[in-house]
Amino acid sequence: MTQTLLDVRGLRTVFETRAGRVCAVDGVDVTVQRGECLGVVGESGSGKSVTFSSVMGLVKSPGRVDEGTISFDGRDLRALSPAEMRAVRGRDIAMTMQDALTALNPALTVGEQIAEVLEAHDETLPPRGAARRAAIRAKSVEMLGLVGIPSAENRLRQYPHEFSGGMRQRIMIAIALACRPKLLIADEPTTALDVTIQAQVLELISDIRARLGMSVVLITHDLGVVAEHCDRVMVMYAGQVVEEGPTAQVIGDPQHPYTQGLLASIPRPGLRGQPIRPIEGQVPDLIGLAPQCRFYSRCTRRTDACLAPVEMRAAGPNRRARCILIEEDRA
Amino acid sequence: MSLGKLLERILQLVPVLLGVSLIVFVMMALTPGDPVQIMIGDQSITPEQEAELRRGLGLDRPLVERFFVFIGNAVQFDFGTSFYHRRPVGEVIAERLPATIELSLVALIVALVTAIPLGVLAAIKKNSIFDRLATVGSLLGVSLPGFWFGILLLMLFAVHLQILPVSGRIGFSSEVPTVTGFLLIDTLLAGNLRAFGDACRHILLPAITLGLPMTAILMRVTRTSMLEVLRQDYVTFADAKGLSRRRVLFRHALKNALIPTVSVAAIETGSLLGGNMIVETVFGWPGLGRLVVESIFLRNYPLVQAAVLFYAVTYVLLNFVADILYTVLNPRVKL
Repeated sequence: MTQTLLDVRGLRTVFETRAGRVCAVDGVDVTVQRGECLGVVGESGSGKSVTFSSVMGLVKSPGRVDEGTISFDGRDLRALSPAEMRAVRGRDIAMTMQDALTALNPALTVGEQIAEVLEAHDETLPPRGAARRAAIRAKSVEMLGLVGIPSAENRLRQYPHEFSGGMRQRIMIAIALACRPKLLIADEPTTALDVTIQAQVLELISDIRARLGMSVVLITHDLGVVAEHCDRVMVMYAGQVVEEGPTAQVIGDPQHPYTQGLLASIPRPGLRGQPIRPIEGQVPDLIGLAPQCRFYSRCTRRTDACLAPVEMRAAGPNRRARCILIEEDRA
Repeated sequence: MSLGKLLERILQLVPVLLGVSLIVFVMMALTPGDPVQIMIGDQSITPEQEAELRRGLGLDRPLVERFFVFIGNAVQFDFGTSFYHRRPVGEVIAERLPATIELSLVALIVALVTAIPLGVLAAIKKNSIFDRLATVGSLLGVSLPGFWFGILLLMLFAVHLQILPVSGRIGFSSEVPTVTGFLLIDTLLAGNLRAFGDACRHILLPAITLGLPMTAILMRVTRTSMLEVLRQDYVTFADAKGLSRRRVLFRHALKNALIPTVSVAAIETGSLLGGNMIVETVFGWPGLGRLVVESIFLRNYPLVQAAVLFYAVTYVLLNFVADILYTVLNPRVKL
């Protein structure tokens, strides 16, 4: 068994729209090690969610995965049939979504929504009858207990709207973790929550990760969350990875001007009274992109050399960034 | 649903029924034609006899007085005597009602079992040939007048192909004792399968004609709400859980998509009442709808008034049923 759980190479996901072809993810490489927590940051439209929808095979029409390999636990996910892929989803790779209020089905009880994942994937259950139902129920109660929902036994027959926002998020996590997946993709798990609940939910994910030994991909636009919870971080911009490396190094010494800009734009207690320094300009339109560096129009350090395609460069041990300013010899 | 809410709904019926009564009363009075003249027809009678007849029907009293007498009797469930049948109106209506209810229910079932699968299929295969055909079909379904479509069906299946009967509820040779008044049930109760088949063959064309506009509307509603639901996060999340396609579509998507469909179906059932008058006339169906049409021609005031009141009550009750069904399907809503 290798250390690498997920290995994505050269992923390209495109959406055919009336205005033209949108290349939402363009040549993205991702690796996730076993037990590791990878943070994925970037602004809206940077392709972070689409990258992992592609991994799960959930890109909906008019989008499709165009190129690249997705290797998970030694299997080529792109070669799997829809039925085989369904067996991977929910069992080996699970996902939570940004807003539990919309991700949980309003017309089904919480109990049913947990039970159906177990029903679909759990092979340790008794084959049928009352024993199976009792086992599913016991596991559902156990999962709700694991995510800290009190008196779970009684709450299984309640509907999502009968829970608070933080509880719904926990329920969604319980559903995702019901089959003990090897990889959890948490897509903005805290964006819809208020600050105190955010901390609780993130603690919960970290805690369960340690207990179950699973890997976590934390998609967020909050660098603070990444600093606190992730081993490694990957920064995305306009469909490409622009920088990646161990969290402490990337945050302590960002190499790409975009990462530098992101970090500089965070309000800090020490800089009270001073204006926030945003990154000037807009994300480029993803239709008909020029081959140049995608950050060119917003970069404060651009040169004419940036008008040529820019490849990822090694920026120290285990670090890479997509900028010509990086001297290769540091590697 | 609390008792208070239920009471409120029932109280809401009072102004509705008063208003409907008044409108029908005035409209019947304004309609040209005199029931007494129609009754007399070609017979020659003296003016005294005619005045006697008029007095007997209560038509010699002023309109306002007649209205209040009608309301006073109606609250005691006395709707007067049918001019034509010379029997209590309630009795005549009750006799015709099972035929109409049976036809309406079968039309409703036909509409539901065709509209929902077609709507779901059109949504799943959005923009496909099937979807486009279904769209055109539903447009036709809403726009084709029932009497025209009914006659077309009659010409094809009853006259040309001669595989279905032209009119009526059942053949003379298949008569069975009346128990419920619903022939589909009575024939089964009598254990007469041949008669049951005969009743089925009779109800098929009228039910299709009556249910067609509803089928079209329900298909559109189901398609639209299914498309809306398929875009929701919970459907993506259900997919992310690795559930079977069938479970995602039917348990997660359809359960939510049916909420508007069921509400519209309950309300549209009220509109079947109006369609009944035309369809029953075209297919010679001995129900309330045809009775009302005949009564209007005969200026049979008491019967028309009572029947319209009955329609109004039914319509309000169906709306009430729609609200209840909505809460049953949608756990977020409490009445």
